[in-house]
Amino acid sequence: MTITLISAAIGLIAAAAILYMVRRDKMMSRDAAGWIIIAIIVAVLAVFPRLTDWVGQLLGVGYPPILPVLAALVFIVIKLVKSDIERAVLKADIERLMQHQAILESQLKERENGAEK
Amino acid sequence: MNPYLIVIPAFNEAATIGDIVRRCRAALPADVLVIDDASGDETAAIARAQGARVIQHLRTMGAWRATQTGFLYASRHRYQYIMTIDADGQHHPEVLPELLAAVDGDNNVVLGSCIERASRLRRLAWRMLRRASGLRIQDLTSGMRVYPGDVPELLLSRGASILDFQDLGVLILLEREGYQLCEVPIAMSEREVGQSRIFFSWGRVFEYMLVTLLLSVAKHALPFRQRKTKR
Repeated sequence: MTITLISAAIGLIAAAAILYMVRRDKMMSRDAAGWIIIAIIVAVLAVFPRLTDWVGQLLGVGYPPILPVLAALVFIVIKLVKSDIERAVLKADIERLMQHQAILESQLKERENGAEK
Repeated sequence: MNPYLIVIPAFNEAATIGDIVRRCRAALPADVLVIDDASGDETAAIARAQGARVIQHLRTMGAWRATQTGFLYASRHRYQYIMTIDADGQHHPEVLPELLAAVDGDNNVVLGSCIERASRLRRLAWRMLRRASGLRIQDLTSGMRVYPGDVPELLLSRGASILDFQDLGVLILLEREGYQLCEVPIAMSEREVGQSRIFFSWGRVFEYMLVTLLLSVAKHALPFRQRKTKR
């Protein structure tokens, strides 16, 4: 019973915290959408723990409680890979920007030198 | 100093951009600025040939980022009115003077609205979003707008810069900061060529609805005090 309450509370608090962060412009709503779905799943599984058992039986898993843990691990791995990909894109963008700004600055200097002469 | 700027965000709109720029210049004595969102076609060259000033992005960043680039340009040149219009031929530049005439006071944002163009499903979606966001605007996605000249400060703020789409989030932000949104019914066409950048698959529609609903709920006006947006 207690674990039900605790997990449900964790899910709901997480959902509220995410909404708050979107409200305060701390998080992009696109990222928030994923997190809020996770938070709701946590809350639902907490209130209906039988769901896990049912899915476990369906898949023929001997120890159903491992399923949410496994799902969480898979989610975290996906999230990590995605953030690596995004970081690579960001790095490429920033470096491209720096190259462009270097060219612009050299052009500006040339123009200034030309004006002085 | 020209008081009017027309901002046209464009991505692969070579088929229509020339015509739109020409018609904008005919409709108003305005500066026309095309933000080419790293198109793969001749969009920039055609726009330039028609007399528009063109700014090209290094990488495609979406229609809202392109519009923001226009605001950045506008804030440097102190325009009195900034108008936005789509490049795909949906909007008719000829109605811009009408929208401009509807501006009443310097905190007015005028939206060209056309609910007739929406399918029943899209109207249902709009009703849902209106309910969730508390906005009383009929056409939530129209990109044809007239903004007052001081708006870049707000629309380049962090709150505006983490938005993915240009519609609801921007309207909510404007209303919360005391701008008065007013709608003028106008005629629009179906897209002439190409496809919408948001609604091209059911997956994207679902993503758009989820993200926008979440934003609406999160930003919904609460009865207690509102803090000013960080600039």
